Amino acid sequence: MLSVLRSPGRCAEEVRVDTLIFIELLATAFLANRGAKSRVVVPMFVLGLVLVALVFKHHATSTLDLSF
Amino acid sequence: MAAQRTSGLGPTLGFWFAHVVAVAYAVVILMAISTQFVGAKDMPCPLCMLQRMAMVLIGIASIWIIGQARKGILTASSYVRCFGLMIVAALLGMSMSGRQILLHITPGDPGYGGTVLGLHLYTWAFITFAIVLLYSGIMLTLTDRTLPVAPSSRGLRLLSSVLVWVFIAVIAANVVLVFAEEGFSWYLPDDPSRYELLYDLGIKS
Repeated sequence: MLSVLRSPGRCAEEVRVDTLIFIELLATAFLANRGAKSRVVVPMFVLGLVLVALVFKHHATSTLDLSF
Repeated sequence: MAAQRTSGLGPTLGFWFAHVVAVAYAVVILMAISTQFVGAKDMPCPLCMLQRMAMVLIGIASIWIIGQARKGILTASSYVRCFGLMIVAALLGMSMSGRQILLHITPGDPGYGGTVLGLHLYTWAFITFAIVLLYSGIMLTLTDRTLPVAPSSRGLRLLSSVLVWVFIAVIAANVVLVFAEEGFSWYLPDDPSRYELLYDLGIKS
């Protein structure tokens, strides 16, 4: 597994964006279920929302590798 | 200032409607997950996954209403704030499902993945986001009548907890599935066809 992280073209600090967003959403859901204060839940919700929007922007503006 | 109802049908409906939103999206996401393993075995594309995230965000706003109501700290302003978050997430979800609809709008394009009742999953997603907007508008209009109050019955509170935990379990399932599909890549491939994690770990080659 470590060899995968250290393989050429990849770095150990590399993060999996979609996976991390779902983990962030899971943490937000835990706090929301506990009825946490808005100063905690709202920033976490907004962070999730912004991350989703940024990944959407990435996919919507990335160029397809086409050749004819 | 208008008096708010703290008992009766309105607050009870307000409380259980919040569960309906979370559970409905849990069921929708579970059905989407089932298409990964049953029948056509469609792999979710990045836009599909993003729409799931928007659904999860809407569900989170809903379970925040429930969590605050159960603690007895839900005020009109925090209730309205939850719907504000829900509306923003629904608009984001609509823009993503709308884009996916437009990607396959040309005549002859079969669309991405299978269909349910003649419509693709992203078209259904668009419809559900529109329903959330309608629901939010109605509930905001009736805020003073539907401000949720949690039931005092132990059985109903247990039912409420179980329903919310089903939704949270669905989010946890997505963490596992998206990691399996994405592997150690930055982003999901545009047209996924395999579970990258199995290849990254050398389980498959």
